[in-house]
Amino acid sequence: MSRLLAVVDGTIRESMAKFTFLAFLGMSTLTLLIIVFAVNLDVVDGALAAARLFGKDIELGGTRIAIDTLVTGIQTGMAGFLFGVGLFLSIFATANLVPVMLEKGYVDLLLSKPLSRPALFLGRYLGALAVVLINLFYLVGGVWVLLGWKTGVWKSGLPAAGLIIILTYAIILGFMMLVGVVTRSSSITIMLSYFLFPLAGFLAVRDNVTVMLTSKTAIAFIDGLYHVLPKIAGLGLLMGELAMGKPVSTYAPIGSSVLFGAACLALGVVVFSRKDY
Amino acid sequence: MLFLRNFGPFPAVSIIDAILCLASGKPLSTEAAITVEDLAKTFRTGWHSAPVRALDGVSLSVGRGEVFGLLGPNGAGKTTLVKVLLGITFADSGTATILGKKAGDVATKARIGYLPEGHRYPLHLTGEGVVRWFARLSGVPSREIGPRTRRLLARVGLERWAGVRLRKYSKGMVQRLGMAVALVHEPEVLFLDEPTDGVDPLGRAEIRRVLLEEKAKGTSIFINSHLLSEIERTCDRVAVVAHGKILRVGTVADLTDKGLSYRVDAGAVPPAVLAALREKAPSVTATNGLVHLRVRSLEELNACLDALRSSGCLLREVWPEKSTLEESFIQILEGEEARP
Repeated sequence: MSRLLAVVDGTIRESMAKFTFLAFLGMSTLTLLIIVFAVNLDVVDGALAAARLFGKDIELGGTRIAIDTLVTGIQTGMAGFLFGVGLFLSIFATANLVPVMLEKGYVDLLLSKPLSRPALFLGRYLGALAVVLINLFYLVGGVWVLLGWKTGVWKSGLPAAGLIIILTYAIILGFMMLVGVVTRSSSITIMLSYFLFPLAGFLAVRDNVTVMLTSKTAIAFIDGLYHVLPKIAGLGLLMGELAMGKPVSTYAPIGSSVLFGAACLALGVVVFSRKDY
Repeated sequence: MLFLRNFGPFPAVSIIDAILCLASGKPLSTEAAITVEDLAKTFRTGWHSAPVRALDGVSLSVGRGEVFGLLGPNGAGKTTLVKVLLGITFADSGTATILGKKAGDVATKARIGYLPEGHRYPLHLTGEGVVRWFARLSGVPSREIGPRTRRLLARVGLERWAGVRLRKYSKGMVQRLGMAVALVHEPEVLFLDEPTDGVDPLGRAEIRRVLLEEKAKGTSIFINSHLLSEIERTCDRVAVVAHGKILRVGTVADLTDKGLSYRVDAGAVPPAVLAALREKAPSVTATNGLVHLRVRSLEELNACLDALRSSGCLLREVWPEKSTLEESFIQILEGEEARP
């Protein structure tokens, strides 16, 4: 167990030394500092009476904004930003973890240690997941606490959305690990992982596409892709509903997507355990 | 030397070996450190390229506390053999054991140290960070990691560089750091692939010193190297490998032995005496004041020496002629190439 933790710890340190995560941590810190020191909200009778940014009054135009609505709006905006930009940055920053591990001279050393190949592979996976979790927790947790402290409104939308974001990353990471161990290429890992997003968007509206097709094979192929690939668009919608505090229409995308991520990870373990290095 | 027991083809365990093992806390055992039997491995690199037979029925054994060298040209299969022994590459057939366990056994790896050729460490870490991290991966108890790391960095001459990030290290320094990483869990078997690659002569001497210290502790050492002089100075036994096959195994003395050839320092030997010697031995030459004799038996050698003495020449020194390891190595390889 201590050796597995050493792999996780090593992966976290390796990732945190990268400019992408340092920049993300810096931006997160700046966002939190702005909320702490530069944003002043006066709440009267559950509505925003006045708002100041860096000491200057913000023109509210006479409209009465319920503070509940404002907090939900900020949290939804933050969650949407993290689901898009945050995930893209995370994929970019962690795509090389497997190819780096498989570099000649490094993989030899790791495989000569008293640690099974599955443990080494899973340690790498858990390390990458932990790095993104730490970053996400820092920003999401920080924003949620500060907004609650400043407005007195404690909504569970942002933390719940954060969970869906980290789950989506965990699923994509499983796919990245498989692509990484098969191709040993960071760029191919990034390209294929990014490709999942537009593909998921396309598959989400597959019914509109398949009605225009006559070939049964093509329809079966698209349906097959829909059932096999993760439902990133569905997870995005679910995340949005949670962030906005709306009733969730379906949790179904979670099950099939988790299955996809787990299958990719398991396949990655099998490939890694059988390959010569 | 008094032997407790002579175990098959392996060097016998002596009283001195036993005392050294007990002093270092390592278990005394007569079992082989490494055994390899009929190991074969073929690499298939692509659909169109021909398969490469990296190991072709390799068999050898390395005893406990022995320093064993593997010599061979590039692509001979040396690194593949080490990788198979460590479970980094899987053999197609044959068997291999380390410390009595199947090669690649995860638990046994805690007793094995490895310095691969062209090793890479995480560049964001300091030298101390690298040794500490690999100590954790090797299962060294946490309370021992700090003292061991400092001790080892001092031992390989890197104590002043302990806090410096690896990207500032020279190739020789990284190589010395690799030695520290390989030794941090106090292994019983040590695999070194080109340990002195890129190291200056002073660094090479330091690495050699560390190896000899490890040997004195009873560690079994398996070295792959192109540097024949290093092998000659450190190894008890040597194997020459080419095209995935072991061509010759023996001590350095065995490999460099030229048979019944001798050099005699007898001052200036008159031509008439040399002519008389040529009637007694099949080959007699004189160069730089030395007489080179190739004889068929020790009786012939003594007859030649008697002839020199009786002709008034004073014998100063007589010694058997040896090849250098490099000469022997080339000779063995040329013999293999010439084989149909």
